[in-house]
Amino acid sequence: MRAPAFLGRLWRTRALLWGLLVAAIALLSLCGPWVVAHDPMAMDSTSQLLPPGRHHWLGTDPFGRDILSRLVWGGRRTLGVAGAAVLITVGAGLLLGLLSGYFGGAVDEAIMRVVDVMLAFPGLLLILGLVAVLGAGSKALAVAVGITGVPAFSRLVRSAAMSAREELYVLAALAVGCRRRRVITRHLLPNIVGPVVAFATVQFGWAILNASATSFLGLGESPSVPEWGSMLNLGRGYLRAAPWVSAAPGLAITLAVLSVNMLGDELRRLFDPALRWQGA
Amino acid sequence: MIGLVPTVWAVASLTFLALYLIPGDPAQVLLSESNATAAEIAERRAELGLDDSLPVQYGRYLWRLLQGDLGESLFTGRPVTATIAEQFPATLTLAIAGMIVTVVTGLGLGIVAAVRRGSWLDAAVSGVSAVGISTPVFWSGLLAIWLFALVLDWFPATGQGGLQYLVLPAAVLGFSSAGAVARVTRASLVEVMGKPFILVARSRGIGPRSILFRHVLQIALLPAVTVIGLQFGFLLGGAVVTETVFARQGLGRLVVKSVLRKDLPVVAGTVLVGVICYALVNLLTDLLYRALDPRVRSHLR
Repeated sequence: MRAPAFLGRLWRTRALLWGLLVAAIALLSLCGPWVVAHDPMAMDSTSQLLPPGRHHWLGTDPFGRDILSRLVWGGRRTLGVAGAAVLITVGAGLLLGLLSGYFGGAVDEAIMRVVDVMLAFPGLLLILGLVAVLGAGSKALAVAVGITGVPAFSRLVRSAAMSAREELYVLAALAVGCRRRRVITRHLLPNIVGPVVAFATVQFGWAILNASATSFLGLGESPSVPEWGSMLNLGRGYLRAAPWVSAAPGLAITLAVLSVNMLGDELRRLFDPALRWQGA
Repeated sequence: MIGLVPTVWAVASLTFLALYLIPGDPAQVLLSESNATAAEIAERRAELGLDDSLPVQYGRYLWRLLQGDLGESLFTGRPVTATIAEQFPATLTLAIAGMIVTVVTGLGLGIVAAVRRGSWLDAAVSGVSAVGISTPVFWSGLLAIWLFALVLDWFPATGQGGLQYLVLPAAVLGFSSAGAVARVTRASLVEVMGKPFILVARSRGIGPRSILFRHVLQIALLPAVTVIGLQFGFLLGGAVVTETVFARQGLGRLVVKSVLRKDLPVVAGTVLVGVICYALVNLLTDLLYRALDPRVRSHLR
């Protein structure tokens, strides 16, 4: 695809718009901690449950902590956990999917059996089970969410690799005696990058939802550490008196996941209009 | 779709391995609070059969599982099966009610969007689905409590009891899956409506309503059936969160409590029950698919 045509399509499909929104959210969470005025952990008994105002833009929580600061710091942690989880998913999924799709036969059979068993778990239940085994905390959470995403991802990579395997250029590379490693890394991998990037984006949205759900259930870091999920859980008891405590993290989650999902949808259409899949 | 029995066996083996490989040992956890001596711990280990070899323990685990014995809670000492049986009906009720909401709203919105393709209704449905898919149940649940329980005072905010306690959680849980179902339903309907046989039916002068109900839906709803089955897994996870949001008893609360307490036999048991339910629902949708698909049906004749 020529560069100008590609950019033109990028613009028309609104992928750029959603991409910019995602980038803005990521940038805010990444650099925000240096910008916000308040310490996200500092409790202040004189300023509990203040409504949004000039001093505290998004108000304060029941411990007198500034919600905007906690939102920004929480975004850093929640998006960080989700990002790490997606890296794990993509890494393991690419490896398993490529092996399965390239070699086929017994390798494929073995890998897909394991994938089938993992897909038999309802997603969040597998995450909770893994958290029970690995212990609480951000690292364990990222690993649990990451592993849970692997089976669906390896299936996608496998089917993409299987169709790319039959392409003439791969057969030609094999015919002229290219080594297997070279065929996989130089010929197969670059040709499945599109769907992989698109699916990884959608997977990121899924990871944000599940990481914050687990944190909402009290299985993330300790409640003093800002996370979007646990911030919402804190606001649960103050819905009537101070709805802003849960509104801020709630809106943040929806906005982040929505823009990531829309970007993923657009990328999907952009890279491969023929590729069909069903999100489960 | 792999068979029900192999799936459950594989999942059970996996959970067994996880329990077996876990560092902290149950006997120690069990007695850590009572300042037990090393001898007492050793005795308890022998009692629990933790000194046996891996195959022996595995065999015993499977044998007990066949009899419905999932071990005992490390925390309360009660049989896991009894604890789960106690909580199961509440979660089942919530899941079924949520499923009904998902099916009715998901199919309804999807059909409306497809029939009015390109209209503002279509755009509204796709917008609502996108936001719905991106909103976690714990957030939509709090919004629902705020609006319908605190502001409007139509339903109780939390707890359980009669039907009025079920409405909000079921609606929130159901809507969370409805967006995905609506999308697939719409896409599938649009595809079928473009098929030649629909054009033929139209050219024969059959009314649009009759075409929709007698020709399109029969085939177009099949992918939706599959997705509804897959969404049930999502719904089970959502039920865990919904129960916490609405302070309802059930398997979700049980599993969260047990993860926090590191009560692994209960966690493993609950997850296994979740897997069995999920597999059963997928088996059902598989059968339903066969029963509904005119192409498969004609093969059977």
